[in-house]
Amino acid sequence: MGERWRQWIKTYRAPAGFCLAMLFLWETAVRGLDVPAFILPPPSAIAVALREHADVLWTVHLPATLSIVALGLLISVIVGVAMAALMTLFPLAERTFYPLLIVSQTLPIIALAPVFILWFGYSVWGKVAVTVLISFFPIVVNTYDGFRRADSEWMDLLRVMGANRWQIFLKAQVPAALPMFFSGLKMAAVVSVIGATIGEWLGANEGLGYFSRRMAHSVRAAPLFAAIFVLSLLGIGLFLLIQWLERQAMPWKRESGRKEEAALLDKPMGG
Amino acid sequence: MTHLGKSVNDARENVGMTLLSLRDVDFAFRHDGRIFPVLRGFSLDVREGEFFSLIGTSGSGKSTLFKLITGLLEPDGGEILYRGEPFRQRLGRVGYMPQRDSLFPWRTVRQNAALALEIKGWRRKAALRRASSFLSAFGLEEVADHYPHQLSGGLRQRAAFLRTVLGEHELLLLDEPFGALDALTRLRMQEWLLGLWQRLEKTVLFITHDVEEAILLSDRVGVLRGRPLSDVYVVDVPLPRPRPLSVVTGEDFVALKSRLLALIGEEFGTPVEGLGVGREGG
Repeated sequence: MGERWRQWIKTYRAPAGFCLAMLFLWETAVRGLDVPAFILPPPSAIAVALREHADVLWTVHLPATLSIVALGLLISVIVGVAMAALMTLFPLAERTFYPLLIVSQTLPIIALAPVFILWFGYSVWGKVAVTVLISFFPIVVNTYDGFRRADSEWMDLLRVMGANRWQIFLKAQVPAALPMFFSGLKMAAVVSVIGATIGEWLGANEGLGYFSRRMAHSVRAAPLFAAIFVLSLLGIGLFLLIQWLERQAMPWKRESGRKEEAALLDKPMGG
Repeated sequence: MTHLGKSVNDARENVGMTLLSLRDVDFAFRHDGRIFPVLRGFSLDVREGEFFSLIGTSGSGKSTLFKLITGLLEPDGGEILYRGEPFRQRLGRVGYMPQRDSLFPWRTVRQNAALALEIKGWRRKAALRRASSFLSAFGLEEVADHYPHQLSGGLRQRAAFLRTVLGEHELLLLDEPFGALDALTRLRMQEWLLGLWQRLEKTVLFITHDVEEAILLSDRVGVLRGRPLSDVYVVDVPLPRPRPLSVVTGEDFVALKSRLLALIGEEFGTPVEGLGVGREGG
């Protein structure tokens, strides 16, 4: 067994153990206290429901929700990054949009969701619009902040080298913004699942949100929880995917802890 | 590698012509309607091919002076001349090495070194190839693909210097490049720069706090005087090159050092005691 695995086990042993303990407690409490299954089903019943509905959950509803989330995130990233770049490069754009962006966050976004369903009907776009509406903000704000994180010394240095505004943006501000962009993207991924689910509650004929609402209406708690379980997996999966992308995009963040080795290389060179 | 090939004597022959002149330069910062003069009627001549050090304490206006020369700031009055011609559009025309190395953390040593070439419009590959050909002369071969945070302070400064040299400008401004290094690394870096510079054929304007460093490296040393900065007292360093580190214990060196320390002491109105202690900070 490799060192990496041992490290991995060490990291996740405690939270995994806690979850198992909670599941066990849940199971015994529900059985022991005779909680009605339509209020809170035991984990075992959820597992059974998960198997029973496996076919539709994994091959119909998950892909439907996933495509909404993916489309919504993609649009949010494109529009959000473009807007952040505009605000960085053009002060007028900053003065115009930034206050509006902040104000937009005081709107009860979820209350707007039915409007989109009204406009786009049961097509995928109504749900994508709801997803974009709530995942756009963390991306634009974090990316914009990231662009401004670029050290003024770096920017001065580039100017002294004769760089134009666009080169300064590309060579200093874009790489400097990557960490903030990715934290925004992670937040956006999490809320995009919420957006897609809400969209599906309001108007859909497939998807995990649609499935869970239908189960709730017919008071079938176990399949409802099974859908929630799949939605959680979707969120976790997206998060891990973005984390992986983040590492690929920022190789310099990966290679730490090699300072000692490098310091050894700093030996005298003949003048 | 033509830039590294010239012999010491060839490089010396170029000294003489005035490369950069500042004539009666005024500059003041404005803040909240108040005016803070930093330079007043300041003049300076830097000759082609020389290593010229400026000594001044923090707050003496050195960094502002460099920002004026690089073009990040414009003088309020007076002129900046390059080979006798007004030096406008200065951005992109002088090499500048900032006090903190300011290496880009997301670029490897090689990629950092190639930055100035990329800004000039070189294609990335060609720029990297050009940078690579200089790595060994700068003692950076082994760490070429390391990121800055993996390097010690001395190596980072070398990488920053290589980046500056690769801008391929005649005039290099070095702003206290060794200021943040420990004493031993600093000594080693001075020796390294001394050896390297003689092969580079560059004119260097060097800022430092350290009198010994200034004498060791320079052809001329200027002590910055006045607040606002208005004058520079220039002393020739007639020590022959190549200079081994041992030159610092020689009679001529010590005499020069005490003369410069006396000048600095005068500037502050307090005599400097002993020889090893210059006034820093302030």
